[in-house]
Amino acid sequence: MTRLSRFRVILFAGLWLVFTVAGHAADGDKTAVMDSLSGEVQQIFNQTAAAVVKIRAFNLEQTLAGTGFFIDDHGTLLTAYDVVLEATRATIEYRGQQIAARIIGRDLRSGVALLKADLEHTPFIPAGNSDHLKIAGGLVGVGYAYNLPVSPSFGIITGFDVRYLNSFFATTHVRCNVTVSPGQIGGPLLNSSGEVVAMMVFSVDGGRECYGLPIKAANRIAADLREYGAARHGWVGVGVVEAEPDKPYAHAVYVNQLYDRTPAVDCGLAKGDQVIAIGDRKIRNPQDILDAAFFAKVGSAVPVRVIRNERELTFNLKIIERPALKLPVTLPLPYQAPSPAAREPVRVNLPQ
Amino acid sequence: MAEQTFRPGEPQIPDEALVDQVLQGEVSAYDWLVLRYQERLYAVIYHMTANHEDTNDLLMETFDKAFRRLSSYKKNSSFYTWIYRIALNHTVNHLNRGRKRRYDLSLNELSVDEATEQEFADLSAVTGAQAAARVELQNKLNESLKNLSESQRAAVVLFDIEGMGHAEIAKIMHCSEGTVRSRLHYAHRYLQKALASWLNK
Amino acid sequence: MNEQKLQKLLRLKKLETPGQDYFDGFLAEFHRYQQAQMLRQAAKWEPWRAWFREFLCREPYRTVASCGAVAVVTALLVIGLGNFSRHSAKQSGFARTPAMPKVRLVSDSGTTEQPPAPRYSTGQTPLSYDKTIAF
Repeated sequence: MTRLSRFRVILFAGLWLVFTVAGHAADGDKTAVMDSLSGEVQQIFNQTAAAVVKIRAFNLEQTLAGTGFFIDDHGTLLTAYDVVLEATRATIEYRGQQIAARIIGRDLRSGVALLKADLEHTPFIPAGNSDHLKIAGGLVGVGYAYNLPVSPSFGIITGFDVRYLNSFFATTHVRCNVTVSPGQIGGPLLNSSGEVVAMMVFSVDGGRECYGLPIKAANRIAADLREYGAARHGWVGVGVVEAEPDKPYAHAVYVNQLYDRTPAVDCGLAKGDQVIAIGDRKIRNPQDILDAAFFAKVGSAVPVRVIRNERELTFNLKIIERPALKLPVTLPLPYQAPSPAAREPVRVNLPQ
Repeated sequence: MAEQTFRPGEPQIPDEALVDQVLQGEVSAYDWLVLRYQERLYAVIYHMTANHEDTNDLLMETFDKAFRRLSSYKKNSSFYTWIYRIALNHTVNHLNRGRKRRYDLSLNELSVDEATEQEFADLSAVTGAQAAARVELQNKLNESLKNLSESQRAAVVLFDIEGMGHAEIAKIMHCSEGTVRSRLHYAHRYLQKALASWLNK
Repeated sequence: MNEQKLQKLLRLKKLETPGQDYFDGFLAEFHRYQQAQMLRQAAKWEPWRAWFREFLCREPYRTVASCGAVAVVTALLVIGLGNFSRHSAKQSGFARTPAMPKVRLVSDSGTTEQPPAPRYSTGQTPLSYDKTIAF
């Protein structure tokens, strides 16, 4: 063999060796990533599953089923309004036992309900920071689907929405592709530290996507429910409209209505004013308005900064309580309408 | 279709959205529709029948009927028009079947508040009738209303008492605006004559 | 009696109401009424249902009935999903959860009725259908 051809042989052999080893190493990396992801989800699940419970609520003719979780070690539970509706009686399943839970309060507008079981030293899930969530952030969901034992699911944040079809949420919700089966609503969405950052409140697209209420919003309502028995939503009486609603991204928001018998009337605001800040919050789009309203405290005054004729003006408005329809405490479901959509899966009894 | 206006203190869910929820199985959403329309439908039925017992039964039957027929509600007309039509038709059918009770409610037994007192006082001054006779005047009006045909009475109830426009009434009663106007015209003429002759007795 | 006086008289009729107490209690009354209706309906059909249960729970009818039921359910699902995919094309944004036909089948145990399954929460559509934003 000539020196050149020997060199080529060694070169090819060397390259072949390198690629084989690299290939194996790469395969090894792929396996490691999947294992480490499962490992993380497992860890979060193991850490928190004990604090997530099955909830059953009883309306006159119907049992409602869903999930909830402890938020302190005295048996206080957070869940979604849809899990209890207007029922007066509820039970949770804790350590294999059915335990009665008192419904402290519920709020239809935000979709939150607060329960309390007479238990001490309950495991609970600490709250994470829901303000710093980002698109594609990972979330672990934990809940009880149907009659199945508690199970985890995993997904990523796909968006932050305040608009759904033709309607608005009361505040920005987190949208994620965590699969949610019937019964898992009310369960927590957790970050990588095992802290709850949102509560599953609404599943869409056949359970393929889910909306979560950020924990900061849920806790704000829970605090009201604890203190007053009902949520007190702030209200000032200013209707706004968005410039260019059909285009994406940030739009100016203008005052277009001042409702009768509200602090908005005679406060100095005028139609056409562009709202640029409410309190400390900058207003860049309608989402910001709704969030500002959601976290406003009833009884306090809030400075509203606007631009009018290229001048910046500030008006102080007192926040009153948003009027709410008073419904009778129990709303029994009379009977199934002749052709409704049933929520139960179709049960088939196959021959033995 | 006119924009639905919501009363203060009411959750701003349009009727059609509530109907959708009921049809998807959320039956309790229907309760919100009952609460929203109970006073208005009561008024229509009561002024057609002038009888509280019958009105109570007919109102429940109306809501029940509407509930059963919810899946046939087409959104080309407003829910408001649709349910008013059910209420009116159901009431008229009842009246035609002649199942009236003997018991008639006179004004004394209804809640008369300060506003009523003031309006009555003005009216007494205007017609020159004595204070004691004002209740009788109202009773005479109720009687005369009963002498109208069902469609004339319905037109008066919807226009003069409930304050609806000719177009809305035409949709509810499934007729032309011209028909509504002529029914009102004849009804007013009859009522004026009946009350005038009674007053001049 | 001129038109104006008549109008006034008629407007006064607006004040003839049964009082707020009546309306406060109406919804509950209505529910009782509907439940009574339901019981009346149920009582009407009970003898037929009892006969049905007795008859169809005896072999060989039970197996035949079960197989037939499976066939019906499959057909319904196929039609139902077909309808759903047509409907979802019309909607913008997310599709709604499809309507599942409610089918109660003959239970294996025959005489003992199984308790109805609880309603598993899938969450609620947002309360606020506000077409405008207000704060």
